[in-house]
Amino acid sequence: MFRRTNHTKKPDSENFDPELVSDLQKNLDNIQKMLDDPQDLMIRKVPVGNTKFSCALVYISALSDARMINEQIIKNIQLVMTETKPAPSSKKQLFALIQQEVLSVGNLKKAEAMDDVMLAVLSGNTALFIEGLANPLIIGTKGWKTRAIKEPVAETLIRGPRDGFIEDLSTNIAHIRRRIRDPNLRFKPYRVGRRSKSRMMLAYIEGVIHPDLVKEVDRRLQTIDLDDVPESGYIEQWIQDSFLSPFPQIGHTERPDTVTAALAQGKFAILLDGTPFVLTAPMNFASYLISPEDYYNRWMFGSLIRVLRYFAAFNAVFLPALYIALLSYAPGMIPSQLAFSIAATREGVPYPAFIEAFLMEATMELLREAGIRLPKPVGQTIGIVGGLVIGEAAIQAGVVSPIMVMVVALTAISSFSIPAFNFALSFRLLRFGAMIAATLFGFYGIILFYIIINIHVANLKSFGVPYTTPAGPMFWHDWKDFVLRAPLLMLKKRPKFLQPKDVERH
Amino acid sequence: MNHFEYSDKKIGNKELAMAVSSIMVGAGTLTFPRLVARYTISADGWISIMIAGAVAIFFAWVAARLASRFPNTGFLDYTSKIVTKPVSYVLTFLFAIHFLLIASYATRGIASASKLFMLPKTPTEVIVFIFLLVVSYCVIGSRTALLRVNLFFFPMVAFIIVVIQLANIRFFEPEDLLPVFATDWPHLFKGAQAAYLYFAGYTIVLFYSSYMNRPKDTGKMTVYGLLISFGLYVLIYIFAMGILSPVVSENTMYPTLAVAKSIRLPGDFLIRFESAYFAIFMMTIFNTASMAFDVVIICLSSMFRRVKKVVWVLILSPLIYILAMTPQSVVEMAMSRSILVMFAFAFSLVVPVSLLMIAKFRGVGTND
Amino acid sequence: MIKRIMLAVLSCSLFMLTGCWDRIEIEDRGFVTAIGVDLVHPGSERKHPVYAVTSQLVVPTAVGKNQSQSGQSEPFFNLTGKGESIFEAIRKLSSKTSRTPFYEHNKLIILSEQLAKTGDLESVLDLLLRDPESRRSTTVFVSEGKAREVLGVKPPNEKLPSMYIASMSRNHFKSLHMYPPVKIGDIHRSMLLGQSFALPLIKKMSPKQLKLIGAAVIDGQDMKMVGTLGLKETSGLKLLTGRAKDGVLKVRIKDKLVVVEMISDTQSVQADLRDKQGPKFTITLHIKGRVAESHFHRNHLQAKVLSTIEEKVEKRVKQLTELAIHKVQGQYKTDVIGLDKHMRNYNFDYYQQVRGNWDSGKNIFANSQIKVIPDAKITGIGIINQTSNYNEVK
Repeated sequence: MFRRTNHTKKPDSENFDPELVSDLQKNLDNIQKMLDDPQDLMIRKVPVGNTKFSCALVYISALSDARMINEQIIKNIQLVMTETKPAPSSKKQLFALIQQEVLSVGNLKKAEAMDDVMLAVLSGNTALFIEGLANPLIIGTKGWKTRAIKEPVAETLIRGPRDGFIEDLSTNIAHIRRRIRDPNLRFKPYRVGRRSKSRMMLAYIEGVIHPDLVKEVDRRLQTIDLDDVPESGYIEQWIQDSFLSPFPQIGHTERPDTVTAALAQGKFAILLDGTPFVLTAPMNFASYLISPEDYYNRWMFGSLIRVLRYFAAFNAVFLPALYIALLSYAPGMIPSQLAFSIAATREGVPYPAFIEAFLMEATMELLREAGIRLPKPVGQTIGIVGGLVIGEAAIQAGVVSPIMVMVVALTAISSFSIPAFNFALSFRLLRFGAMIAATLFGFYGIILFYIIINIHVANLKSFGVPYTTPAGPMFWHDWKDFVLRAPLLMLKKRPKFLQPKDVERH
Repeated sequence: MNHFEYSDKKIGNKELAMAVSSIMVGAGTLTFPRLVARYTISADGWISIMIAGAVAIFFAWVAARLASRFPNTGFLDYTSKIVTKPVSYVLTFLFAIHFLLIASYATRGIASASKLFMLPKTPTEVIVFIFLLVVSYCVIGSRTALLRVNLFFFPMVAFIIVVIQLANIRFFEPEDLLPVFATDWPHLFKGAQAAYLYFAGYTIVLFYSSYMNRPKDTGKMTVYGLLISFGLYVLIYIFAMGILSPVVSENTMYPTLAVAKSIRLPGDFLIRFESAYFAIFMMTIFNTASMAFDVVIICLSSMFRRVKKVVWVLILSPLIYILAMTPQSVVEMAMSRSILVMFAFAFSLVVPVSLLMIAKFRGVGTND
Repeated sequence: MIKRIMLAVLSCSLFMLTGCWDRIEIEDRGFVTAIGVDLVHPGSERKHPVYAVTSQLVVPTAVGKNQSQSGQSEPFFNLTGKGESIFEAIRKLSSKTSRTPFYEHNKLIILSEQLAKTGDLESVLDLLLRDPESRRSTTVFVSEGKAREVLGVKPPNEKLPSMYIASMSRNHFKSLHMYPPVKIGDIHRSMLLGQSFALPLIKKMSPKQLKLIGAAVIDGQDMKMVGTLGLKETSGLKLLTGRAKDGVLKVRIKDKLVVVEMISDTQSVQADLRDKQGPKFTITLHIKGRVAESHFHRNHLQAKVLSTIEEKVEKRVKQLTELAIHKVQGQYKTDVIGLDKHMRNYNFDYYQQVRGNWDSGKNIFANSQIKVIPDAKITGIGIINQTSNYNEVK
């Protein structure tokens, strides 16, 4: 909102809205005026070979490939035109000649309006104005430094491809195209951000995805009205179904293999220029607990790990709460020997179990946050040192009991073992809710909290797909790839809950 | 937004079957072996349960037939086609009261058990209150979601019930089931009468069938659902008899919980098993209460179409609270139970049969 | 939208209801692991008996640590409260400790012999069954001498007397004369059915040692202890009821000792009820065993040797069981063998006729004939045949 008020106050650009004219100099002046003649705006007038015509190249030096402009555009215009016999007689002919023969560039387009020209130039393309013609030629000369392709840090696998998305959209599209050579793979382009005009792509495989799903996501993407879209998180939060839910309804990943797998299932992906994070949807509860590695490893191990992850998810939410409930409300539910030893370790701890638990959980979250913020080499050590030292010292000082430290550590480990980071975040959030419930009503509170989560999740949808499929609306077929991962030979069909048009997985 | 065929307002077959099962496995499960064993000698109560189950299956089938005669039609609409409009209004209203009573009875049931075993000093008012808040939260959400919550919980419930019984198999004494057939028929029927109440919940089919994806399967699914809970009841009963013995079950307030409490897993697990039992019982009683509440809302909003669902929840939840808090003692709980029994018999036996007969006689509805 | 408001209301009210009525921290609980019940004025003919209830509370810090460190503090302490009801006594006792006594971890209940003989067990056990904190798996013992004394024993290897007793009684199957622990839940059933039962009898031998010295026979009708069974009679009773698995039988062949470990012991009862006032019971005991130790150095693979051992085992079993039958039928006239249970299960009509007159009233039990037919089978001889063959004539 703040930005938008700024936007209206900006000088000139509001009222200065020139048209393309046939006068070359006038066009160039207009462009200069619109951009306030920045330093990196290059306007180069070139006589066209040995003809009487002249033309001008407009580009921004920082965004374009200078070598390409020099060698494939300027050189060609100067040299090839000289060699061409007969020389063009009219401007139209010249334009056609340049477009078809002179420029040895693949990406060529005729601009229709000044807006197109501006967008092209600001995106790193070059506009070629020809004396006397209103419509310039847009030449694709984008070229800037991009990051090298690296393995995504947040989603490392032991087995699996080592490449990841980067900030450059074209490279990211290339990643997907390289993996899916299906002619039905579609990339629907969008521009988002009033100011940033970022490129965005909606990717899906036509004939696999449910057609209404594309319509729906298209509708939602059209509604996006933002000033600036620095990250796909903006898109996610704009198009998600429920913003009040602690659960994410759209997945994000840096891994091309995850995206291609999603596309092949009948999901769609949204790629945004400027961020390596690609969104995939519709998601359900189960798909957040899936790691691509489940499929790369043999099915038995994949299944085992998945079961473990569900267990971890439960731990991540309920373990500290159970600790509180069992210790403060229902020590009868702990086996006797364990109860005695817990009571012994708690002896001398001044705080009730719930304060102890909140204290330690808060410390843990703090450590986590600090570990992320600190420079990488320090970050790791702070995690270990902080965890060990604070834990040990807290026990020594008698502030917490050793078993609490164990519970906290186990909870943290559990929440780290959830593959989707955004999903793990929501569990971290829910953990505190569960702890409050346990503090107030013990076991009764925990069960009610569990029921509340279930109700909420049952009501939740991601792009019209119930969040709890295949358990919610029951699809036996999809249970093959739910808690357990069936052998690949048995996964011959795409998940039913996405209602793909093409069911068979060939 | 509901472009997916399954995510719209309709419910699938499994949802209906689970709904039928889980409304039956409710608060009663805790006390059930006691109330049946009271009428029979030794473990003969299983015969009573069989009788009750058979009767229930037949009448459930009748009710489902009645409902599936009018696919996609609400209870009020088809009853007004069968009998006249005023009669149908009265019927619907009575059903609303019936389910209101079930909801409050279930709520009170869980509150009493929780108070006894988990929160002895917490006021019952508070226990009931927060339970009702959660129920209301569920009811306010979409109806399909409510039934889906059933679908998550019930398999868990059934699984844990079976596991708990089997974990106790060490203590199971088959001799306690003897002598067989020692009870005379009148007592067996009395037992069956007591057991029947637990199966009477199938009347929800009359209301939920109109939300079915495939209304044709209503009958089949109702019977399936009934069979599942019937199996669970037989299992619970037989294990209560074999583990606690009939006389003890008769004299234990919550025999089912007593069975769970007697479990000792070899090598003592981290948490004792009874906790799992409390958990699943809260889930299943929650299901019963929320579904009963939901049916009340279906009834009332079909009569007063303009009133919004939220308004109903806001009006009804205090009412359920008051009803749940009304019985002051164990004895009064038993009295409110007998009122429920009366209702249950009237609504699950008499009403569907007579409605179906009239419908057939008058030739209303589709005849398949 | 409304859904969201509901959620908000819900979470708000959760915060507002910060009652935590039932929150008691684990370190503030006094874990009771055993309860002992004594009569305060044994022998006196009071109208209302006064009970002294002793609770054994754990000191968790002393239990958790190593033996060396816990030198200064005892791992447990016993508290006694008195009252006309158990509940009253327990409430009084809790005023003596800083910790709230917590009974869900209670492992055993020890009743003194005095109490078992004079007080009524139904009333004593009522609270222990009725209270929600109770567990039906708690085991019950009768102590010779005061229950309080038994709970004060300081076992050398276990930290808690209760654990000592519990694990000691868990070894019942190793020895034939240890009566198996009886759960309070099973007593509840026996009391409801009016069946007599036996409870293990425990005695303090020294300040550091307890011993199970047999069984106490409790009459099912008036719920009083009628007498005790010695070690041999207890063995007989165990054999009779088919619970002697893993027990050890010692027999002598030509004055040489052979020890047989029982692998299984199944019992089957045939009832002949033609004579209503004096029914005949035939108890067949199928015993399988293996030779555990043999001082009879012969070729054990010979059929003759084995059959001799079997014969001797049968003789021994007969001897032990007859001892037991003589005591319970002849002396106590109390059916702890479980014949009435058998009749109830298999001859329900007859059971209903004799109900009330079985081991009380007319005491048909005392008039009935009980015949024991042991059937022993030696199934194994261990992993060697003979230790020496010096004495054997080839």
